[in-house]
Amino acid sequence: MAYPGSPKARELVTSSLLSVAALAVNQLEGLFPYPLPGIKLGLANAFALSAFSLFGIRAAAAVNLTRVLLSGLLFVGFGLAFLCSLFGVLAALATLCLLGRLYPRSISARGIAQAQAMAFNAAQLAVVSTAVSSTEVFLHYLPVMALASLVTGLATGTASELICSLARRSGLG
Amino acid sequence: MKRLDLVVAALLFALSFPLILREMGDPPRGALRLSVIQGDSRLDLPLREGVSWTRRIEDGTGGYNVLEVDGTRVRIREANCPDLLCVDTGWIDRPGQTIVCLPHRLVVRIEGAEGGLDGVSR
Amino acid sequence: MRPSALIAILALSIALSAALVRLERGGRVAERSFFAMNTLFSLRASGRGAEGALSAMEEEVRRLEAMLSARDPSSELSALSRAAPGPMRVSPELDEVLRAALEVANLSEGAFDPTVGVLTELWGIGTERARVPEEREIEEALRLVDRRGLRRVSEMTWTLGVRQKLDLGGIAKGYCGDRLLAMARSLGLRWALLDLGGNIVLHGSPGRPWRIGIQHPMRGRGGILGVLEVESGPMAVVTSGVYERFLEVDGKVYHHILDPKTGRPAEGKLASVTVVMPSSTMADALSTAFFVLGPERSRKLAREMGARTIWVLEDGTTMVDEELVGRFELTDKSLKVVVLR
Repeated sequence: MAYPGSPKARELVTSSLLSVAALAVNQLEGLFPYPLPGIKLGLANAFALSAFSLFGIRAAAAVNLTRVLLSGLLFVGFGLAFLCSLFGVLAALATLCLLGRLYPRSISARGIAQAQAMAFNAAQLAVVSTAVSSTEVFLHYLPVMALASLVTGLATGTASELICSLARRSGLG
Repeated sequence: MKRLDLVVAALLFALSFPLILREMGDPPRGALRLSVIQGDSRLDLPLREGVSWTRRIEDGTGGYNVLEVDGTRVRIREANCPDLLCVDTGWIDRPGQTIVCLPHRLVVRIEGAEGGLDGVSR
Repeated sequence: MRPSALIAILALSIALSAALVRLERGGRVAERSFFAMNTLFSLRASGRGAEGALSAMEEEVRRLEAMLSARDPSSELSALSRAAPGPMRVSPELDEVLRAALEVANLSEGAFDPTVGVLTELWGIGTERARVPEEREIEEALRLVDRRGLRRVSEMTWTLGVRQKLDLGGIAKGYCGDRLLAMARSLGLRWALLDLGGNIVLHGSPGRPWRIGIQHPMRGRGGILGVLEVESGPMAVVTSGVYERFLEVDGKVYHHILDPKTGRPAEGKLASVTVVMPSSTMADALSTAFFVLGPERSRKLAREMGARTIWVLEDGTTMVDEELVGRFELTDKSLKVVVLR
């Protein structure tokens, strides 16, 4: 089924859908126990990655930032968790800018997702560490973040590929 | 698997190595200390097996956390911060582990004391 | 990629993340401290059932204490002393300790002597009745210090010279160490660090070499003179020094390591000696014997028994066995170090 309308409209609609999905996953993620407060797994990043794959970096930025802002507005408020997510997403986007050009030739969705996850987690960790003025916290948990990023990146990357193929098949992408 | 995938994975793996080493060789340490940082003030307290105590830590603006020490493990038993994540963290019992209460700017951390020694022969 | 594969991966990553969280909090090290044999025992171990293992170890220590204590009149050892000349049959453990004690006594030609009970009781160093005995009293006591009076007449049956008294203070903790090591092995503990009143006994390894500090004889508690690295257990590090128990009268210091030949605190310008060897029983007994003998006269025996030593003389000179040099790091750089060959 092809979606009627201009490519721009398609991008807008699909991006919105992706943002909302990301928001939902974001909230579900929050139920997860994690050794430090405010830090999320970052599985919701899969959707922004899909947006990037389908439409480009601008869409990816839109999806991620919308999710963070909506999450703060509707759910968690603008406290520390918000700052964590915000800087996390900014770091992830920066990574995407750097590596996005190499996709899909030199790097796959999984690789980008893992790098993004690391940037995301490191940024969150940095926010928490700064809030408590403790570099030891940062150093102590950094290896944990690296290991976690390996795993969540793998999941996110694979998920984004699936989402992309789903989107393309249903004409949304 | 593309070329850079390998690079990214390798980098992350390398970064996570300290964790793997830490977990595989859990270091036995001498007497442990507890460092409690609230805002700008810092307290160092000893941890001794068999010695239990609780202490209420206030942040000066009405917020409090109740620190509970049971021998060499530590937890925040109760607090009046909005997220109660510090309480959810539960017990910590090894050097390097921390409990953080951000709303109250509180960091509780176990430190190994005897300068990297496992024991002293006397 | 198929949806089922995606779900599998998501589930795996969730499980792994949960495992990571658990890792951060898990891997407990069991610890236990208690008073026994007139000193503080601090046990630390890791492995499945470590908590229960330490509990069993504490029980074993108390059981051995009840058997070997010279101070406790109801102990088996005291009964043996009272039963002199005997003969008296003893439990297997006491039998083992007595045999080991006699062996070291003979090898050290009396520098270590389990029949020194009358002498240690006379001085009483470490108790409230500690005092400097008169010359005459020491002479009388010396007559009752003789390792030939202790004899094993048949299996687990011993005789002791009349009015002689046994004191296993210089070997009891060491024996405990070996018993606890055997328990650690049979219970499959991953590693254990047992601090038996300052005697360090090691089992296994935490994935890296152990770092054991050696007490600095001239500084207070917590001051170390150097760090010894031990690859892995079984290994015992036992230090005999003048600083732990002593009596001070009229400005003169009388330490607690009595020379069984002179009846007085061993003289020899020694501050401490540390013995490093796999057998905890031997390390304990030899550290006492070596302190009395001094570095020169101990050399041969140490070599024969495979005991590695670190000596600290009164003037601060530190002598390190050449086999330990690569693994010993001096912390107090003001000390002069000599390598023992």
